[in-house]
Amino acid sequence: MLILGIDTATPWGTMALCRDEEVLFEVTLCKLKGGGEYLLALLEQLMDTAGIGFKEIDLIAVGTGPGSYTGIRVGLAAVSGLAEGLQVPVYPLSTLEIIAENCRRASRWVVPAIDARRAEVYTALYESTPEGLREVRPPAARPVAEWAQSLSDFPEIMVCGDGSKEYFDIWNGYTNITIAPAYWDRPLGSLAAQCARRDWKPDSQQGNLLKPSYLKRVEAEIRLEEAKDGKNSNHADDTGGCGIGR
Amino acid sequence: MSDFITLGIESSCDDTSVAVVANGTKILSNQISSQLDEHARFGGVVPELAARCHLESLVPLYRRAMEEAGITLDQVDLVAVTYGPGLVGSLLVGLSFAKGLALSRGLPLVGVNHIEGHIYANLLEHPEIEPPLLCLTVSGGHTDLLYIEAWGRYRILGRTLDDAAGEAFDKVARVLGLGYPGGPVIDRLAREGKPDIEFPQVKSLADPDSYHFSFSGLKTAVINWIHRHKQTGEPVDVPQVAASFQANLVNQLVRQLEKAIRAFPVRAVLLSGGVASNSLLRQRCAELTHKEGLALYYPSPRLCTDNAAMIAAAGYYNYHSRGKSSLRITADPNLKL
Repeated sequence: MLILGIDTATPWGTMALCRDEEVLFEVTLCKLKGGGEYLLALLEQLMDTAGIGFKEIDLIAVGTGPGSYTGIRVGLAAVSGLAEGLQVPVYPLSTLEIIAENCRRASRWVVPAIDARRAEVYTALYESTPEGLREVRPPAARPVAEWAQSLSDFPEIMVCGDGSKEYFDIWNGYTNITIAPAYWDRPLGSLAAQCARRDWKPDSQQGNLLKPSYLKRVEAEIRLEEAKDGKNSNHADDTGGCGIGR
Repeated sequence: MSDFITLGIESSCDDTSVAVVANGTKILSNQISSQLDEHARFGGVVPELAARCHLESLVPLYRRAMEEAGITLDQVDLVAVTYGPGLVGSLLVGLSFAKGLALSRGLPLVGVNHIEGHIYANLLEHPEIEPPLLCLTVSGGHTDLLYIEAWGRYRILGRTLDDAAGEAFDKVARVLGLGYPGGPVIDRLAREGKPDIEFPQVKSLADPDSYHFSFSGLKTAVINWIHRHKQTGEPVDVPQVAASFQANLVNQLVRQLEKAIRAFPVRAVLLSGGVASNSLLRQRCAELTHKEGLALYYPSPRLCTDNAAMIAAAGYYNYHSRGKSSLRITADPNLKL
């Protein structure tokens, strides 16, 4: 089975083509300009170099976030275009799960953490099992300090992702928490493909629309609601200057 | 010979649209999903919200467009997509989808300038239009006066030095408490008011000998006038303000157009962009072109606002004159003509 794995939600844009367990190609670029706009030009080159036609692809695995909003959308829109064109199914999975897959054989409890700024991380708790990762606490944006504290019941946890380095001092204050090496902080296209090979069931998602996992609401909406509740009324200028007046 | 089918994709601001157009001018489907209701409560477009809506709407619109056109992807010859100007997060959604689609089928991709799309909107209803032409593109993002020597060959005679005309409509409407978008409601109210307020204006930035526009002075003058009246408790006659503001703005547009008609040997005048729907602008342009013995064209309201059929039309002509774009093409929020 030929699986294309893609994730563009984090600062690392990643893409891999796997035939069963074999990785045919894989590329991971840090801080890709424009949230991964060049990824498809690169994919064309890689497919060409590998001598593989797009029609041979059986399944596309894609990380749906959380992470950069623009990055999430670029990846999902591109994958939607590819999938409509190729008429292949897509296996969507959390970018957090892809990152956690790095540590699956190293620790029973895995906490991937993506920096969400303002002392928050996008994070979840997974249990490693021989069959794969089991979601114990679902993906959400959480304040790092509270989250780390709430994990103290678990004897041995490995935390990975860029949030594990950004808030190193907080994690480091807990003896039950091990911080993963930096090369386990990235989502990898091949890991997305690996998860898909293991967990995807035929016709489970076919034809469905891909749902982005932003995990946060649009700020202007939150502020509008706060203004309605009388907390704050300074929201009026959060608008772009386009297409208005028709 | 079979038809040349162009798939058009537009997501530059707050409308998502996918269209199928045959031979550059015949619309087989033009699906549009407006986000107006989403943004109305904020008094303007919220970029992050717009981008989220585009991603949600795009695939269903694409499927609907293909279904309505009664075609499969095998029959598509070209994918045309807006790559600027507009909101970068919104542009990236349409552009990434278009790239994925084109790449998966080995189809040529052509990036289209949104403003150019508005010009070609006229061709969808009037394929007989032939250059040389003058085109006045007026929308929430643009105010451009172009001389079109031949299809694909433009000269920008003038553009706005500050706010776009539609932006001025929106901002005045907001201060008058008329909601968003401001253009249609000001147009409607203006019919009930007398355009007889003289707003004290600072001198326009635009050099009187140039073809440029400037609306920020007028906008500020109108807003100050309203605030001053409210502060002193004088009544504000909303239709009168709307009519006076609109007349002032349209005067400036028509004055520059008239100057250009005198200077360039054209056959016709095109209006495009959302503000081309404004009834006073249409009326004044009709009087002017009639007097000068020229034809006047403007798209029907549905094609005046953002839509993908016009992108497909522009893409079709661009592809045949300039060839395809690279897959490395990026969104350019400040793209110029």
